[in-house]
Order: sequence, then C-alpha cells, then structure tokens
Amino acid sequence: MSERVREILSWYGSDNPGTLTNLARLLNSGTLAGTGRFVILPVDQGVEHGPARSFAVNPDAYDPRYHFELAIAAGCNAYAAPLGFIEAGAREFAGRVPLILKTNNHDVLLEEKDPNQAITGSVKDALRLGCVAIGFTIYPARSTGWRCTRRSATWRSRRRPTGLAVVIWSYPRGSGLSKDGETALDVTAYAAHIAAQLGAHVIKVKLPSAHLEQAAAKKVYESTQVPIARWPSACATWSRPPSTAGAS
Amino acid sequence: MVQAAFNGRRIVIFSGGAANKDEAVFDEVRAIRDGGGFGSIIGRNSFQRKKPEALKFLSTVMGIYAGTQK
Repeated sequence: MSERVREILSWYGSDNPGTLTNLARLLNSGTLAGTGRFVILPVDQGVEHGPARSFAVNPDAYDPRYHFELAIAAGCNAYAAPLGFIEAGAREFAGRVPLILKTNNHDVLLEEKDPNQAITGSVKDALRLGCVAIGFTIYPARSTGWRCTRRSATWRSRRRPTGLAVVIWSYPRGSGLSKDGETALDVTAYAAHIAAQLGAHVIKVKLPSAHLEQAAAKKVYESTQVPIARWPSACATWSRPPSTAGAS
Repeated sequence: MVQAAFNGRRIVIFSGGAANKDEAVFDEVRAIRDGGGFGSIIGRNSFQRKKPEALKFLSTVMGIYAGTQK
C-alpha cells in the first residue's frame, strides 16, 4: 500500500476496519490506484434529469451494463448509481469495479424551489450488492434542510456497524440562495464543511466560482485575505492544505 | 475549499456539471490537482459521447491527475 493511501486512511481514525478496507478499495482501484487521486463515474442523471436528456445523445448508455463496462475499461476508482442501475449489473460485473449505491435522488418532474429527495436505496441494498459505500445528496440551504441533515445523521449511524463508507453529494440549493450563490466559493466551502461534520468520508461538491454570496462571510474572506481569484486560476490558490495533503 | 473540509483531512472531489468543452474540463482538472483537490466525478462528459471517445477523454483526465500529462 502506498504511503499516500496510508496517510489518507489515517485521517479516519474512529472508523472500524471494515470501513477502512472499503476506503482502501476505492483508493487502490483503477488507473489512479495508490495515488490518492480519484476519478469516479456517476450515473444518476436518468433519475435526476430524465432519460432522454441523459442518454439520447449516446443511446448505448440506456443500457445499464454500458456504464459498468465504461467504468471498468476507463479504470475509474468507482461507479456510482441508483439502485436500479446497480442491481442490473452487480452480479455480472461483481468484483470488477468498486460500487457506490446512491440512496436518495431528486427528479425534475416537480421543479420545486426548495428541492426534496426521495429515498431510493438502503444500507441493506448496498451490502447485498457488494458496494463499498453508500452515497447521498444533501441540499444545505433549502428551507427544510434540517430534515435532510437529520436523515443523513440517521443513515450514518445505521451504516456505521456495517463497514460501508459514506459519500455525500453536498449541493447548496434553495429559496435562500441566488443562482450564483449555489456555486459561490463561501457557500461551497460551507457545504463541504457541513458534509464533513456529518461524517462523510468522501465529499462531492460543485466546482466553486470566485463569487461570495453571504455578506458576513464576504467580510471575513476579505479581511483575512482568503485567496480568491478568477476560475480556473482560483483553484491554484484556494486554501491549499498545509503539509503534504495536496501532494500526490 | 479543501481547508473547509477539515484542513485537507477529508477527501473532497469535484463535479464539472453540464457537458463542457474538453479543454475547459482539462483546465479545471489541472486546477483541482494543483489546488490540493483529490479528484473528479465525471458523469455527463463521460457517457454522453461514444465509448472510444469517452475512454480517450477519461484517460487524459487520469493522466493529468497522475502527473503523466501536463
């Protein structure tokens, strides 16, 4: 096992050996195995945006097996999808690529201002299908966000004894945010922090812009000179962690 | 960003969102790599094109993260 993978695993000190083994499987699979870097294939857009918008441009992708084959051939660290897609290939491709079961989903048949998630899979499903992790989305900033936060805390305590890792998609959305605010730097950093506090092992956020949404945060970003520059050069300076955390 | 997630002690990965021009995605990946991010989660840019092109695209992305490509 590489030094880098060992270092990353050391950050998750209160997790049981089962969870650490699953995290190690994520870190040691595919083309980027051992580097501490990730490329994951997620295919929940069929639910999230609808089938035609997702697959009509490449009709082979209507077939659930297509995505397993793509993730394996490309050497992705993992493949993440809702229950139906995972079930449709979990046996045929067992052991070929780490799987992440997406356990909640939002669809756009109802486009509400404060979006809600339907629960579409369970910890038991993830174990039965041989997944390394469960994934779920939270929408910090929606008016009923507290409910989804509480739910994620419940899920985490349920999966804890099972050894599954947790991936949280943290997407700020809701009536309190402007459209630009959804990907603002301060809001995205806040969303990442909430996911970390909820116990996520892996946090997925949208690429932030240099925009600052919240006045109180803006003041601090400016007075403490948190580096913000225009994207993409913004990334080169944003909050690089001290020590070796950024090195591969 | 990475600082906000326990000072770099949690794995943070980024999505690119809607399908984008390849060169723009590669620039974002370079920026994530150089800024201490851990990686990418790439859906639409991967499966909304024919498989041979998708494999070439993902291989470039992984090459950038691995440091074998600029």
